Amino acid sequence: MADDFFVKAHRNLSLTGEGNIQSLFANRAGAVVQVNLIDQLIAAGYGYHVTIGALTTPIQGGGAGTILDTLQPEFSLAVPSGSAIYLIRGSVQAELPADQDGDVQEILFAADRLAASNASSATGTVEVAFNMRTDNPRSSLCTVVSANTVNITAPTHGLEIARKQEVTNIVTSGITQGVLELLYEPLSPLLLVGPASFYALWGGTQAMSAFGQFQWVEMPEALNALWGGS
Amino acid sequence: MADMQVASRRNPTMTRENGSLYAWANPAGALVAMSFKDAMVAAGYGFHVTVGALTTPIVGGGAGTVLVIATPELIISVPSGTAIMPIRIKVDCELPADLDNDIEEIVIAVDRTQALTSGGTSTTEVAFNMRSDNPTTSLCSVYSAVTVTVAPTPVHGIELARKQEHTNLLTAGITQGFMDLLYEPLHPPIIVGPANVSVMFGGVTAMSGFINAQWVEMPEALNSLWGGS
Repeated sequence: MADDFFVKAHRNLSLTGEGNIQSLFANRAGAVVQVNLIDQLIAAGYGYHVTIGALTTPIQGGGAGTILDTLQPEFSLAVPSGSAIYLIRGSVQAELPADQDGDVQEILFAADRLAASNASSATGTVEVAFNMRTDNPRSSLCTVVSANTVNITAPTHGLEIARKQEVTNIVTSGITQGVLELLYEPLSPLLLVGPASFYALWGGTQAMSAFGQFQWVEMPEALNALWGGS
Repeated sequence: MADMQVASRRNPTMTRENGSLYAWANPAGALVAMSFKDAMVAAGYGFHVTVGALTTPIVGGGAGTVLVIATPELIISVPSGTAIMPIRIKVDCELPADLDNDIEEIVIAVDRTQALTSGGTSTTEVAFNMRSDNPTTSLCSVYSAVTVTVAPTPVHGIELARKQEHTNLLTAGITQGFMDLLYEPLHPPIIVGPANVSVMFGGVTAMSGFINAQWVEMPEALNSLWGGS
């Protein structure tokens, strides 16, 4: 027994009311038009964006920018118990200072699978996460803190997600030029279930400051069926 | 239990607008699909704007030496009732940095709550439909090379993307390189009017550049795609 898979062919959009039943949308050759689940969750108000640093002013976290200090991350995103996130885009742009032979500069994205970060206004700058559908009133349940310069509870980086690494090799100091940046925009993003945390760290032999932009889709308890259970 | 049957074809077969037909699959039964954003472009809701032309780049406010929020190199004002998804913004600058500690920057940012009432002193740009024969026109106002402030001054709640370059050298005048930024997100935000999107570039040494920007625009008639809670 078989069901024929018919679709409604049209080039122009045909909209119906919320909750109404309608035919599948295809183009006039029968190619089905599909919307990605993450894009639809953004349209429904579950996408968030946070900006670190602003205009021409980058930020530095712990260790005065000279080391990656897991206790004083440049960026922390704490996912509370009951929520889960897809990290869909993380981007960092550093002001590359390395100009000595042997300088190593690094940017690292990592996740703690088991604990929500306790970073707060007592450890750094609490950031506002804006909804990616800019008029949507929904707000994030995650806690976002940048430029931590007071120790947070030690995280466990079970997952290192992405990294950029640069080594300077020169004979005469002071003559480097370049870009040090990291873009993580995965085709299949990690599903980070709270309690958990995402961290971004940057630094190196030469003190380094940077900007960052981070986006995630957040599924609160009400959407648990998308990710909960075994 | 029922199989889902599709029409297996290597070559496309067309039907009329609003006609009913089998879903298209290849001869192996793999469903042929297209993205919703591509379908929106085919329906005439995609727009493209070019800033700078051929070999002539532009400079916005601050004579190219600073990022000035009120005099951006490009600004797309989204009116109330309309929403846009930026799908591709490419900036290519003519990198001038050749002095120690020169910093050059490109920033794409969003004001979530205000549309422009004035484009200041600037070049009004034409947004062309990405389906090049489609008569649908953009409801957005687009200005480039702003040299006298737009109104109101944008408030950048969101910085979408950025490029940053730092020069370290002992002898001035010996750098060479690229300074460009490609923002082509897998999952774009939905910027709901009143709002605006700015592109700014500049640095210690005056920098000029070119911009290509593309977005999918959803006017009031498509409000159910993005409106409401």
